[in-house]
Amino acid sequence: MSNWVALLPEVILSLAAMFILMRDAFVRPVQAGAGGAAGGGRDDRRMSVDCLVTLYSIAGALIASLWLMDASAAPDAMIALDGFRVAADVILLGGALLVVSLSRDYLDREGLRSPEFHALILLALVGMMVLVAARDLILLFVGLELMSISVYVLTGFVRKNPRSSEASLKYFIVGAFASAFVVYGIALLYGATGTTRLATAAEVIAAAPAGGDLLLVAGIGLLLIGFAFKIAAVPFHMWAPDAYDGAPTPVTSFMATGVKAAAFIALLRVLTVDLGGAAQVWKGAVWWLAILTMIVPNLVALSQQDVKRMLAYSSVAHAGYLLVGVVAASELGRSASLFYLAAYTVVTAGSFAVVFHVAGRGDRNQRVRDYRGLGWRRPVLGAALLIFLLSLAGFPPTAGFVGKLYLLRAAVDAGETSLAVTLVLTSLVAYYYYLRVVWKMYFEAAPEDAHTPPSPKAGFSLVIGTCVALILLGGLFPGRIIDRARDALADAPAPGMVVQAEDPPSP
Amino acid sequence: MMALYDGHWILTALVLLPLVGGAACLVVPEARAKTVALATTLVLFALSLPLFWTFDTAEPGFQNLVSIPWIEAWGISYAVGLDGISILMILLTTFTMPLAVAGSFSYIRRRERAFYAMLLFLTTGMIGVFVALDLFLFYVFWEIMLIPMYFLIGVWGGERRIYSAVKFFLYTAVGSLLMLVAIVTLAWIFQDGSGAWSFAYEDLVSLELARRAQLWLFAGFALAFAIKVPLFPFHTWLPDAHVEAPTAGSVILAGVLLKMGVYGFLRFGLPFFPAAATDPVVVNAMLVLGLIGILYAAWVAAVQPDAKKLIAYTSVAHLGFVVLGVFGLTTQGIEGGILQMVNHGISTGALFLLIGMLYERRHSREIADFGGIAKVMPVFAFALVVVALSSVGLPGTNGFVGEFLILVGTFRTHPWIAAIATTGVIFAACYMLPMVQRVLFNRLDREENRTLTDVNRRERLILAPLLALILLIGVWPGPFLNRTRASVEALIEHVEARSASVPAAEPPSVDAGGGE
Repeated sequence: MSNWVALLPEVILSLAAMFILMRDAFVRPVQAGAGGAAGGGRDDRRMSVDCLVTLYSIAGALIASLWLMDASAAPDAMIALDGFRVAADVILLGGALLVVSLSRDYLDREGLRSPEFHALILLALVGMMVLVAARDLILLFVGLELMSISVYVLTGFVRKNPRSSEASLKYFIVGAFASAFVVYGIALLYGATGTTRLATAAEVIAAAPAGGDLLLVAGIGLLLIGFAFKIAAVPFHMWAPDAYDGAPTPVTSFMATGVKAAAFIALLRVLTVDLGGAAQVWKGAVWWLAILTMIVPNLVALSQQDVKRMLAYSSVAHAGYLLVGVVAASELGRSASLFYLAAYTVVTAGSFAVVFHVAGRGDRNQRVRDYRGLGWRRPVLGAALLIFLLSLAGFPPTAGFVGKLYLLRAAVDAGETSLAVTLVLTSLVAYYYYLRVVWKMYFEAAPEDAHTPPSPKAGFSLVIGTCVALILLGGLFPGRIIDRARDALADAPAPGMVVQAEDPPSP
Repeated sequence: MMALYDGHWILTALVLLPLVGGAACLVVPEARAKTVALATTLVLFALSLPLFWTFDTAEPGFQNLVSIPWIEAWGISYAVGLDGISILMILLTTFTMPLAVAGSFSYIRRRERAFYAMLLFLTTGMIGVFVALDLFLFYVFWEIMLIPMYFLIGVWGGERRIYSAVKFFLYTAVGSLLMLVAIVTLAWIFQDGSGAWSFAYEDLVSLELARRAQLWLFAGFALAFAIKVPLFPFHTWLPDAHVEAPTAGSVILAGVLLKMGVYGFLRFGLPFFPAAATDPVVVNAMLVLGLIGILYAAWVAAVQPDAKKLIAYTSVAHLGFVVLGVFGLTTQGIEGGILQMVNHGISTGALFLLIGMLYERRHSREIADFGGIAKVMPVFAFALVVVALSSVGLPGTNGFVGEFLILVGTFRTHPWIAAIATTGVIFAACYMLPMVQRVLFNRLDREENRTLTDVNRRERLILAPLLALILLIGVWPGPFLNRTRASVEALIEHVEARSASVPAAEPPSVDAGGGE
């Protein structure tokens, strides 16, 4: 197998992104303001094509990724080729598939027809996939930047809206700052281990368990801070609610699912597998990050009056739950995190979609009070949101509950009972704000002049229905998914372990 | 027919049927929902009734056992079965549900489809809790129950329904979540010893835990159960929930939901953690809390102007008696406790139904708004007097048998506590009888009360089985006690044998406690 095949999913996505951009260069865009019926129609048609190209290429990348499942790479390859990467790709690509297919209506409604939207989503996706697959710190950084820069632009995509621009700027400044931390951390790690290859670094660290090596400690510390910014762990989360709130909602959804998942998976792998030998260096710090990230955002979310902002805080809190899996630092912890992440991705994509659908043109109706009586006026939409909220709250019989139980098992297994107790008690706090939306939807009567969201289009309903089905399936019959998550991890190489390459790299 | 019934499908059918019926309620026309719900619950009752006769009274273990692997990687299976502790609870549930449905026919006028669907979904959760023999399955049912109840209170409740619904939900959830940590810890301890995770009841009950681990894990379970009972001082959600809930909600809360806390102690708390459950400090604490519940609730009930709130507090007192019986740790006490749970379900359920009928006619539950209505509603008055006497525990009614057994059982191990608890029976008369007097007798001095109509045929059909059971259990409790005896004796033996053989040395696992 040629080495390039290992990059097949990324190649597919990059080609699609370039196609969309090039097509834009050759097909003359409709002048703003001159958009008559014909122009609007052409614009519309072009967006349909963009959207379809994006969806097909993501689906293609997904198939390519699954096809790579049985392949394996040399231990010192720059790109991983194992179950872990495939599992990560499935989560990232599946999430993107949901987000892109759901956002079509929103883009139409808000008049965001530029082709760059889809191109940037695809490029960000390539960045994410490189980030989670990288076995070399330099490559990891390239993936991180490709992802981040694309998302900065997406955040400010609604140029007319000052809040969107503000969010983008904030995100960019903080994000660039975080990237600097990561680069510095990489440099120091190189100094400590003499290599940028993660597998080699793991061997060096395992061979000389020097907890007192200042370079190593500083390097890991800086890397951790950088990633904590990216996954919005408290106290490095300040940018997240503003950026999430200001960005167009589909982008928020993309940030809360894809960006967070990618950064988290990379952190999970680098810390618990490659730097597992130096666990004593980072474990205490991550423990505190987890505790704080579970407590603070859940408390702040209690007082939010805006559903989008509430979901933003809640998604920060979910990063805290995920960090419990990192602290557990075991195979159980990793598979638990991946399962939780998969469930979280589906739910988040679904709930943000319902939120922007309800919000209506210009996102006018996204306060909690705008949800009064929604459950009776739009029963199906309300029921879907109810199930999403229950899953976010970790209530049976949803995938969110199984994920939470998975993380609890990992925490108890690692002897971290205090983390387990914090996890459940903070979920209790979360119950309150999730329930508040439920009681607005069902217990309070809608005012006379209430805005009733239009009945969703067939495509939108289909995708939301898929999300609901996935969540219930994951909650009732998670057996197969759990087995997959476990298998994915079984072949992630432990530090110092050498995986036999099936196909030696061809010259 | 018997051979067909002999199969093991019956418990699963009891769990699934209401789910199907609930889904059907959501899609049929609004006016048909009540019929579908009544038919479903009647079929459910008919299905469950033969369980009573086919039950093998000599068998202390589980009967009608079914176990199907579910999530094999985690050792989770779909395991259901019944024994002497759960059989009466299951029958109580299936008996209560048709009455609750029929009692809502004229009370619920809006969003009927959703209402009856919620009642049926709730039934699935309740029966599931009583039959589940896998802790994961148990927890799923335990939690699922909260959602329909949250909706029942929140959508069809009274003035302060949102406050009450959220309070109910959050109070119950605090306990449940800590119990989840305890369950996971138990499964992990099992894995530590055997190499594989398991949530199966049989596996976890066989664990020999060190004393300290038992105390922590017991605390995790006990909080969940104590809130659900509700044991003083965790009872404050109950009056709110009861008062705001629609009649059917109150009936189910009192009739079935409150039984789950004590059921949890009997099913999990005692057999899993015998050393903790027989620890003198724990036992005394539980007994004293039960006792405080009996006396405090009686005093508070006596001054309630709202009849529904008064009855809500009597629940706290009655459940205090049951806790007394359970933690007296004698066969009579526990048998009496189980029977008293049934009694409480019947009599308090009936009281809520009666108050609901009054409320439908008069739109008031204030005791002061009534007086002398026995003249205009003679049948209603008869029913209320019988039910109130049963609630007080008059000999000849079911309440007497349960309370007597509890007091006798507790007296054998804790004479002083039993002696003080006996005064609770007197206090019960002090709040219940004046209420009856002020509502039914005295002078008929309010104009609007003169035109009240007596109970109609539907309401008589609802009340008749309740009154019949009150008298039946009162004079002939044998068949009911028979069915619980073998399992209760086995439970006591298990607890005594195991609490004596607790490992003295603490294995390293004990620090992973279940709560903080």
